[in-house]
Amino acid sequence: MELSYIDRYSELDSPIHKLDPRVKTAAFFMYILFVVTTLPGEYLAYALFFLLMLFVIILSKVSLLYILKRSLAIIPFVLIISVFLPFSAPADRLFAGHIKVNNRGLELFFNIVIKAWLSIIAVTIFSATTAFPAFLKGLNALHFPKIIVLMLSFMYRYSFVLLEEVTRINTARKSRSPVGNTVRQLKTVGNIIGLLFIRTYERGERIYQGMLSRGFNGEINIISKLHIGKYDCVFLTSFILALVIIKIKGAL
Amino acid sequence: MNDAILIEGVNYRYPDGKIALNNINIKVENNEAVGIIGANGSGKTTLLLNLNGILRGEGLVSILGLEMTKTNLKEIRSKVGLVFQNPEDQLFCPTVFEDVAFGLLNQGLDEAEVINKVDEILSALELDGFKETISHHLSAGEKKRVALATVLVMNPEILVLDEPTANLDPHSRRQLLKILQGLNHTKIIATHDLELVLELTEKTILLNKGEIKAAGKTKDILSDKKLMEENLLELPLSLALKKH
Repeated sequence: MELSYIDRYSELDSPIHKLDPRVKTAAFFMYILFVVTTLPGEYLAYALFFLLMLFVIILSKVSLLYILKRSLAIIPFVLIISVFLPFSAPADRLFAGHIKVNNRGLELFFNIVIKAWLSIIAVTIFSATTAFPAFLKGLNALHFPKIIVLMLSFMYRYSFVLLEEVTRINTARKSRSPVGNTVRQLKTVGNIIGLLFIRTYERGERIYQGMLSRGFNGEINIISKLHIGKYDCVFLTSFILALVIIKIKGAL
Repeated sequence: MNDAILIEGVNYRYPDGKIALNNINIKVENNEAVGIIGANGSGKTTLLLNLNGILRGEGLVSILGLEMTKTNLKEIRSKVGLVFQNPEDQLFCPTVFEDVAFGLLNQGLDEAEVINKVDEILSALELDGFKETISHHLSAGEKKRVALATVLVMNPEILVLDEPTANLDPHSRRQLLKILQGLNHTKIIATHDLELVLELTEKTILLNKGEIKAAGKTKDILSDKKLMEENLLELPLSLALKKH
């Protein structure tokens, strides 16, 4: 299963895995808030944020290489958005010897890329150390809108089913068209997407019938039995303390 | 005493106008097990979906004395447990526990009671230890049993099963069969698995193109070679061998 990376590390046992999903959500949310509100140019703060994440990764026992690899996946998107910033104002300096850029724009560009990457590292650690169902329970306990929790839970459940379906369709396609020209293949891909839409739509109807049969009346009930312990409190307090210290140190 | 199921003159058309069920009359007594057989597209699933008001055609459908009306719908659905053919459609929650608890929570039970009942049914279906399992990690046989659990946990009086043994290996099929044999609910089983019908049911209804072609004792219908073949079915192997 290609999607297995979603749950790949979530079964490990570590101080980070043990945390209540609500505490983890709060801690990482705070972290991202602190990172994105760091002023441009506070490179010391960025370095310290990275060290903090490094510490969390080591605690979590998740492979560092895995986190770094997955976190890089988002970088192309960030680059697309921010790569023109150094050129959006009149050039006032040279970068790397011969590229004319705007200094303020260049600084913003670096800041955006660094902030995005630091944030995505946190999200990657979070998703690697939290089983998705636990995350959903956490969201529910934090009084996140139930309809969104339900949608996320469907998305999680059926991404696997859907992927299996795509794999089956693709195997059937391959076995009937070992080689073909690209234009023709593109056309087939179009058909497959259409087919998948229809199948998913029909499945949606059957699922809804299944829900009705079990007494669903539009009201969503979710049990989330979670327990915040002493350990959770200690972690959250020291984590936020570290964030505040970094903020103060970085601004100096 | 009311009949478990009473259906009189039910017609159902698909939204596109095609006739799916034509003048259906069925009477099922309490604790009876009835098989519904018929070729693909003969209306088996459509008929099942009429039993708890997911689909509603013209005519009378009465469940345990309750006529199928909007006001009775909630009560009827709590009495008729419908197990779908594909467990992937039935198991829509991330974990086994949440799926089995879904119906109970809709019934408004409190948490402690829900947890108790889920534990009870899981161990009755030999699914201990699967509570926190993520549904897509289950095998086909386990999925089917969990699907059954999601319905049984609601304590329905009538159990409606659509192709319960589809896609199961012989071992899982036998395991499911034993479980079904042990349940004394009124059972309606729509299936192509004719051996299952022979083993589990006393009565059988044969559908073809939305019409009841025959209804009666399971043995009589399933051993009628001419009738079976006219309706695109065949004699179950066990009966065919006996004749030689």
